[in-house]
Amino acid sequence: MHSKSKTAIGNAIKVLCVPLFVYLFFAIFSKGKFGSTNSMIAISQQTIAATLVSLAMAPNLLCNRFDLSVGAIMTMSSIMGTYLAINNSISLPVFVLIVIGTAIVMNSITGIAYLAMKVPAMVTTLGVCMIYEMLTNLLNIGWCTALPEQYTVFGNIPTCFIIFGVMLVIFYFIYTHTGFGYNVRAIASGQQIAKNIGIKPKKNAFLMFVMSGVFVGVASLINVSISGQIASEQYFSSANILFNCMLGFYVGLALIRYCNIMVGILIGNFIMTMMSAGLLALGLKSSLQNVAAGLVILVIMIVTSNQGRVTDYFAMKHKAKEIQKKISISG
Amino acid sequence: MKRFLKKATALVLSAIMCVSLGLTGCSSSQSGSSTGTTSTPAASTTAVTATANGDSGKYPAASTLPHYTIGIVIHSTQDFLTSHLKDYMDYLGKSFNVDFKFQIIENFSDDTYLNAIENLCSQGVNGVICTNFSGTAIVKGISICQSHKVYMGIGFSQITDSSIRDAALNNPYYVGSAYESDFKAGYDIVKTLAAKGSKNIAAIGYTPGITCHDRRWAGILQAFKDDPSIKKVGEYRGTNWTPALQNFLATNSDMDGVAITLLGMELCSQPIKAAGKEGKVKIACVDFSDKSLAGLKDGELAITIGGQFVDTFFPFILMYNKLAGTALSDKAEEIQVPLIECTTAQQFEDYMKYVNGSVWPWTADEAKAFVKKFNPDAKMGDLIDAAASYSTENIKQRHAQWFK
Repeated sequence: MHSKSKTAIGNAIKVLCVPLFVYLFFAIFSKGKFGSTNSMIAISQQTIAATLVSLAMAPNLLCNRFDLSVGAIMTMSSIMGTYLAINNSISLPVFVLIVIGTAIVMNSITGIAYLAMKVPAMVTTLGVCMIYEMLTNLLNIGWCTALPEQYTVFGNIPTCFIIFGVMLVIFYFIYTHTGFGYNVRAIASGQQIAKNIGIKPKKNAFLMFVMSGVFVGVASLINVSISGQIASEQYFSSANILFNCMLGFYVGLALIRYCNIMVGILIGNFIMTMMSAGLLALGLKSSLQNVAAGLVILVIMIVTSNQGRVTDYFAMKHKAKEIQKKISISG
Repeated sequence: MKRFLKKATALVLSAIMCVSLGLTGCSSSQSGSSTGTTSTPAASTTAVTATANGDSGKYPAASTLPHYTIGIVIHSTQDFLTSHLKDYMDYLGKSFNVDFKFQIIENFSDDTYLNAIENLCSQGVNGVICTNFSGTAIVKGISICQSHKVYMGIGFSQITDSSIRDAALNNPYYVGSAYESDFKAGYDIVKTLAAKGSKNIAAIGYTPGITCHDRRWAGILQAFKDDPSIKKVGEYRGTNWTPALQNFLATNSDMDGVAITLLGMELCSQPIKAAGKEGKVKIACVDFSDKSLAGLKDGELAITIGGQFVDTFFPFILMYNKLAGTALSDKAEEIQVPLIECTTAQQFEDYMKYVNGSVWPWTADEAKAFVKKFNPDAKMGDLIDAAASYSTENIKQRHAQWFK
C-alpha cells in the first residue's frame, strides 16, 4: 500500500513537472506578466474547449482513426445555433439542443460514411470535412458574426467550468467503467484480437463517432459562448482547431504511463494553451510568435516521443552496472 | 453489418427529424434583419430613391448597350461590407447591361486566385476583378487573362513590388486597381484611441499576407512608434483572436484599448465583457458592421473605419471604358480611395443615410459620366478626383437634392 501511494505521488510529480516547467519559464521570462491569477483563469477557460475536442477525438485516435472533420463540425454546429439564434430568436435550451444536436448528427453521418465507404478514416473525414466547411457558407451568414449576448451564458465563469467538470466525469466514467470503454481500449490494443474475443469493431467505431459528437457539441457550445462570435471556415481552415487539440492529445498520450489518459489530455491541452498565452506575454513580435510556438511544440514532441528510448537507455545502463557488480562479486 | 448500418442510418435520420421538428416549433419570427447582411437601397423604395438611382435618360439605356459579363473574385458576398458591394455592382450592372459573376474564394492563396481567374475566363467573361489579390501571382493572373483576351482589374489592393508593378501597368489587359488608405486607417485607430484616453493598447491583426491588412498593421505599429506615450501592451496576428485578447486582458491589468484590423465589435466585445472590463477597454477597428452604431453610441467603440464597398466601382469603370474601346488612359491606373472614419454615432448615422443608404454613392448616371463612350469629356483625372473626394460629406452635398 505504502509503495502504491509512493508510486502515485511520484507519478503525480512527473505529470505536473511539465506544466510547472512551462509556467515557470514564461513567468520568469515575461517578468511576472504571465502567471497571475487572472491570466491562469483565462488560460484555464481557454483549455476547456480544446480539451473537450481532444477527448472527442481520443477514442478514434487511440484506434488509429484520424477524424479530420471534428473542427468543421465544431464550426458548423456553432454557426447553425447562431444562425437560428439571430434569425429565429430561439430560446436558450433550444440553442443548446441545436448546437449539441448538430454536432451529434454530423459526427454520426461521418461515422456512417466511414463505415460505408470502407476507405481509411483520414480520407473519408477529409472529404466530409470539406463538405461541412462549405455547408457553413450555405447558411448565408457573414464572415464574422456576433452571437446575441443572451446566448453566451455558458462562457461565463463558473458555468463553463461546471460543465467542463461534468464532461470530464462523463468521459472518465465511459472510458473506465463501461463496456464501451473496455471495448475501446481492447480495440486500441489490437483490433484483430479484439474482434476474435467477440468485440464488434464497426459497431464500436460508430459509437465512438456518436460519443465524439457529444463532446464536440459541448466544446462548440462553450467556445461560441466564450468568444461571442462565429466565423465560417473554408478550405480545411478548421484544421487549425484540430491540430492544436491533436497536439494536446499526443502530449497526453505521452503522459499515459503516469496517469489516466483523461488527465494526460487535460494537462497536454493546458500546456498548449499556456504556451500560446506565454508567447503573447513575452511580447514577442507576432511574426516570431508562430516560429517560437512551432519550436516549442517540436521540442515537446521530440522529448515525449523519445521518452521510451531515454528510459530504456538508463534502464540498460542500470542493468549493465548490476551485471558488472555480480561479475565482480563472483570473480 | 448491413443491419447495423441500417439501424445507424435510421438513428441519424430520426435525430435529423427531431431537430427539424424542433426548429419548426421553436421559430418565432423571421426577422432576417441582422444576419450580417445589410438592407439594400431597394428596401426603402421611395419615389425619390427610384428617381435618384434610375436612369435620367441623359445617357443610353441598358437595353441599347452591348452586353458584357464581368467576374468578381471575392471572399464573401454575405457580410456587411461584401453584401453591399455586391448589391452596388448588381445595381450598376443593370444600368450598364453588365452581368457580374461573383466567384467566392475559400482562401487568399495564389493558387485559389489563379484557379478562380482561370475558371471565370473559361466561362467566357469579358473581364475579371480580383479583390485582395497581391504578390507575384498578379503577373500570372494577368497572363491568364491575356491568353483569354480578358481584362483584369484589382480591388482592395495595390501592387507593391516595383518590378511587378511596371510589368502589370503596361500590360494592355490590366486595367488597374483601387486601394484604400489602409495605412492611415491603422494609424488613426491607435491615435484616436489615445485621444479618447486609452494609452495601454493591444494590437490585433488578421493573418499576414493580405495587402490591406498588412498596411493597416503597419499603420498601427507606426502610431505606437510615433507616440511613445501610447504603450503597446502586446501584439497578435492570426485568427485566434479571442484567446489572444483574453490573454492580453488577463496579463495587463492596465490595458484600456484594443486596436484591431477588422470587425472589432464582433471579435472583441464579448471577451471584454467576460473579463469584466466593459466600459474600461475601448475598441478601435477597421470595417463597419451591424454593431458599429450601438458600439459608438455606448462608447465601447472609439472609432471605426470603413465604407470600402465602393472600391470595385473604380476597376469596373476602368474596365468598362476598355471594353467600350474608349480607354481613359494608355496604361493601367491605380486609384486610391479614402476610407470613412466614424468616431461618433452621428457620423455613423450620416454614413448609413448618405453613403450606405437608399441612394448609391455614385448613381448609374453619375457612373456613366466617367465613361468616354457616353461622355466624350470624361478623363482619368475626373475618376481619380472622384475617388479622392469620397466621403460622407461629399456625397451629402452631391446628393443634396435627394435628401431634402
